[in-house]
Amino acid sequence: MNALARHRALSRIWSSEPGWRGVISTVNHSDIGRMFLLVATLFFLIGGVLAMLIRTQLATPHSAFVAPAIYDQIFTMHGTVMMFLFAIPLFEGAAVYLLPKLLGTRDLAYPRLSAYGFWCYVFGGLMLVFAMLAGLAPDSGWFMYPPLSSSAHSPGVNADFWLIGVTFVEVSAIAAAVEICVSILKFRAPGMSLDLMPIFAWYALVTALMILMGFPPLILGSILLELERAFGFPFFESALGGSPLLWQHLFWLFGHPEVYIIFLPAAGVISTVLPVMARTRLLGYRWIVAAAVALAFLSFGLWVHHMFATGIPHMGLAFFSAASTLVAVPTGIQIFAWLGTLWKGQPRLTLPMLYIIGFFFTFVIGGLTGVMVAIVPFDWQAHDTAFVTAHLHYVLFGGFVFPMLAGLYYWLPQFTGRKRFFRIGEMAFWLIFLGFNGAFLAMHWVGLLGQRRRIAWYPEDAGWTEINLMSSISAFIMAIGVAMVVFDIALHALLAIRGSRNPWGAGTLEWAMPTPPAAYNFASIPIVGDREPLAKDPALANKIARGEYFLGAPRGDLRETLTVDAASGRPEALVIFPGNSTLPIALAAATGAAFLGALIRVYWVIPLALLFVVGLSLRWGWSQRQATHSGLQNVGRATLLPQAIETDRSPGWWGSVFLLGADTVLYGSLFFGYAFLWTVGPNWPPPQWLSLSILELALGLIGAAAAAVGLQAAARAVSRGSPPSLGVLLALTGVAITIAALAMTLTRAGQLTDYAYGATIFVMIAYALIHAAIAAIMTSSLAYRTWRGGAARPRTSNVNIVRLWTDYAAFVAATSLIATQFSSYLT
Amino acid sequence: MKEIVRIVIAMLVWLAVFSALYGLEGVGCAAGWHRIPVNGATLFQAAMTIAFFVALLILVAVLVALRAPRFRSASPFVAHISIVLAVAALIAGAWTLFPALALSHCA
Ligand code: HEM
Ligand SMILES: [Cu+2]
Repeated sequence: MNALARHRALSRIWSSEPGWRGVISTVNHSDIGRMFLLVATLFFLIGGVLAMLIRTQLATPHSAFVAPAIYDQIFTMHGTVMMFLFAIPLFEGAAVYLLPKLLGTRDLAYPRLSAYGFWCYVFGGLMLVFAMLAGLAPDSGWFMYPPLSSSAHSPGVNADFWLIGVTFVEVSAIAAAVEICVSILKFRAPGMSLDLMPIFAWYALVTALMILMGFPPLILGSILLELERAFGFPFFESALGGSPLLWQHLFWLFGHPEVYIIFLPAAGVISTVLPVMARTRLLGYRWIVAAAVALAFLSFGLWVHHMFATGIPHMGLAFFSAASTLVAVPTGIQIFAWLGTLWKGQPRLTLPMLYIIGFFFTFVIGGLTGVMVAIVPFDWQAHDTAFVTAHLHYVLFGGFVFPMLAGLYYWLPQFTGRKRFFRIGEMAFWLIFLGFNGAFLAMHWVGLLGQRRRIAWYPEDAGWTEINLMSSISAFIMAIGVAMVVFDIALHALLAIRGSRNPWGAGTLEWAMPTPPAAYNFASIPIVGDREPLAKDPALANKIARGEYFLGAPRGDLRETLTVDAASGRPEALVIFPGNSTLPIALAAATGAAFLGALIRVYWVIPLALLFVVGLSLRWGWSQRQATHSGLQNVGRATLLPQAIETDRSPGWWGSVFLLGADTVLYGSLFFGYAFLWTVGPNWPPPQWLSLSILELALGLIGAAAAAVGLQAAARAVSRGSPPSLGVLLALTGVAITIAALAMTLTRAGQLTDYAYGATIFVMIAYALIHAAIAAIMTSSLAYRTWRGGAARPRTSNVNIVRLWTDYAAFVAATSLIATQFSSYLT
Repeated sequence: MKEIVRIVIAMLVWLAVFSALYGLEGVGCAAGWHRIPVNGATLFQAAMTIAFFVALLILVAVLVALRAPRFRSASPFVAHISIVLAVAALIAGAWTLFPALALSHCA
């Protein structure tokens, strides 16, 4: 088969459907990535328009532009859109589009999950856009502090839009994060050991792990606050044993890492682009990886620095102040590695390089003002002033938007296959750079003069008028620059002439393919022996196209790729991907219906929607594609590998591990909340404790143990080749008993609106109950497979996945029962 | 997967001891340990001081373990990163938890 015939065959196998159907049924990572990037850019423009409205309002004192009630919606939506609907999704889009190309594989681990995440994002984003158009947008600031956001002070539906819409969008972030982790660890080109991974993959891996650790506290917080708003569970109400500070803890447990979740991918772009622009290799690869990991973890020990002004004991403040100053070190290591790379190389002043210089200038200033506000006494002065907004924009705009623009112009030829022709970009850069600094340098200044953030009006005699006007004019100059970038890109995509394949002379694999890329990425899956394979072997692209490597011979209509051993990159298994499908969009719509039901408070919709979610999920799990015959498969180059679903640890197992990791963080946050209210919350102890019921406890523990033991037996039976009937039966019985025990405890949680204690117990037990239900559904599906037998009979990989979930459910049931049943003894 | 664990473990342990000391401070202040005298100091000071040294000891143990032949990665790359991060975690522990020695009161 020659290269052209191979290209035709693979294109037929991998292509999405033509026309609009292709949009809703595509599961291809390039399509989904492009759609993600497009929608995220639209949200950037929406957020930008809102920013211009803010600056219009603040340009003059006592502005007649909008009244405070509307202004509150505008700045809240600006912050919310930028953080949740622009920055995170833009990272997801970039990762979804780029990772398989960088890693030398044909798609991400779970193509349908990418599509599902994308549609959740779109539907959740639409909810918020609708709220804005209807004038019902959230208005309590992007961090939604209760009691301002509680129903007493925000009675309308505005805050609910935030809590429910943002949580829905976060489902998509979690989905993407699981996908990114498994793809990076398992879906790489053979030979690509951990130390040969492109640096962007390291950053994406660290970022995805951070999303899995950082988002669950906010998801929990949003659920609790929505329960308080909708049903009066008083988690955040001091008078009833709750505490508004609990929200601040949960929010910033997410919120600070979020800042680094935004910065790290941008740093990944810089680490990728900068060496190419300097015509050299990245200096200090190992140190950069270590710095990124250190930064990720340190950022989880900083959250209280957003709460310096809340009256926390001094020692606590000192812990977090010390940790906050410490993050400057790994950040500094990266910056010095970049400077060293520039020093070592021969930099050329291209457009991406210009944006990187813009990044250096702005981000370093943002970092320095960050160290300033990390010092408690300074923060007490600057807290809630425009100084803080100025600081955060230097970090976010400087540390994210500039690098992403560098990345945009760097990968543009890869995207379109065209050569940059129009020279609007350079002028746009200068407008953005000067406009940005004019706008926000001025905001530091008025902030120090005492201008508070989030104010619609300020007095004429405060001496802020000229500074604000200057800031607003600069902001509009920046906006013109952004508009010019959009115009430049549109012209480029439509009119520019075709370019060569690797215009920058880069060494990573995304340039070893024809551009714009084909749906299958690589005609054969290359063997990698260098961090910059293309630099080492310039003929690589042709060899790939000639099918000289793995999977160069297309089979039937199978979308095939390889998985590797996570550490060494040794090929491990053959993966057969699912084809185009509308299942993801349908599942996202069903998920959205459940969220919508909660939003409009038509609660019968929720169970109905969840029924659809379960049904569609089961179909999803059942419609795995596989090769025509089982056993070892020929993957080319005289290599035989098993099919991934016939191994013990299929991709689904890996995904479950990461998802359960995030779930554990959510559960841990719930425990944190329980302990927090207990020790720090005002108005504790509650008037009445939950009394100990030996029966419930014993049933719950026995049931949980039986479920775990049963599935262990089932796994052993399957690996012996016999049907696992007995084990599955034992597990089902165990799960049923656990559910009964939990349900009994749930009914005794007491009057939930009276006191935060009862409400917390209720949530903990309900969480356990939900997981027991999931275990029940999964075990039943296993039972069904066993009963059907034949081709449907469960494999080790199936049992292992069910085991993970059931063991987790058992663990949760046992711990939540112990923590609640004994509470009256713990006082 | 083991390699990933080697890479993240030290900083994860730092995060755990950091959170634990912060939690201990909350519990101690809520339980009024700072009003219970112990040998000229308070129970709270004693608890925080001991906790500080235990935390550092744990971080040292992680560093020693990652260098020990039994747990050390066979890949020089992973071994280097994991040990660098273990040293970083130890420094981070000393730097961020130092207030436990200097500021043990509940104001
Ligand atoms: C396009 C240029 C931008 C301009 C001119 C701008 C302007 C502003 C201004 C003036 C405020 C303060 C509102 C007030 O305190 O009354 C603000 C708040 C904020 N901005 Fe931006 N911004 C821009 C881009 C961004 C980006 C890219 C991000 C994040 C990735 C971002 C995130 C935020 C956040 C989180 C807030 C706080 C909102 C709140 O107080 O609830 N902004 N912005
Ligand atoms: Cu922070």
